[in-house]
Amino acid sequence: MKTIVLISRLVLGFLYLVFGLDYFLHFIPYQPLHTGVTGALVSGLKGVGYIYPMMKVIQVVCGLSLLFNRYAPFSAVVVFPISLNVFLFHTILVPSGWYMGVLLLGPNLLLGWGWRKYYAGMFTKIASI
Amino acid sequence: MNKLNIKLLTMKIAVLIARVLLGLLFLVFGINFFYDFMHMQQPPMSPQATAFSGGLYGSGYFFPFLKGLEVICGLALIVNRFTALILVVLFPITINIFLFHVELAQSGAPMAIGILLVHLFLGYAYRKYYAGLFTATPTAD
Repeated sequence: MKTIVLISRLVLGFLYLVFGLDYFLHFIPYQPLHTGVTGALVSGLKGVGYIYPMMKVIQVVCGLSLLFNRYAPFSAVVVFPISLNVFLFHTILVPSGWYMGVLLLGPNLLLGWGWRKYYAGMFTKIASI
Repeated sequence: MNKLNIKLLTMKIAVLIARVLLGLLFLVFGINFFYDFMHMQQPPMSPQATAFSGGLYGSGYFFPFLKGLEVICGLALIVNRFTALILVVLFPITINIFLFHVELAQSGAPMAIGILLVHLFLGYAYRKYYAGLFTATPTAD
């Protein structure tokens, strides 16, 4: 499990750091062109101005946190909604890029399992203050 | 009753109210998506906000998924099951409700700020359940 967690952490951290930085620095030459409902979704999200900057800053910060293993259990939770949405986006709207969703959601779920002892408190059935 | 007990009791009541209130809000607005019982008039939105909601609606899966999650989490909050977890699941939604209303649809801003404050208060109240989450250098078994 130690090795699985290590690999998952590095894969997830690396992917988020690279795709986060690419938004600000544009170094990945391949940029997919989306049309139809997918194009409308992406341009709607880009048009609001706060979604992408917020999401990409989260990706860079959490990517670094995962790579350097500092507060990584917290970062894995923070990026989980992003991984889930990348997965849904790619499986439902852009099936040609399905592996992107799997490459993020898979390691993210494995980290959740590997670090379950840190999340135990969160899963208390009846919490009281 | 001494002073400490009164303080604890006040906190317990405040948390109870906040939890049920947040749960009701998510449950009601969640159900309303599937079964429009409130007949709410959509306030006029800016072109940006229209393109944003239109894009999300157009994807087909986004709103059913979001609203399904809101119904389940709203119910769980009201009946107090897995409250600490539900607060984490709903937090990204609350943040986005807050940002959407503050940036794009200011008419709903007071409600959005209220939801965020209630949510943050609950997160603070249940902080002991999140201690493990903030481990600086984790080790896997």
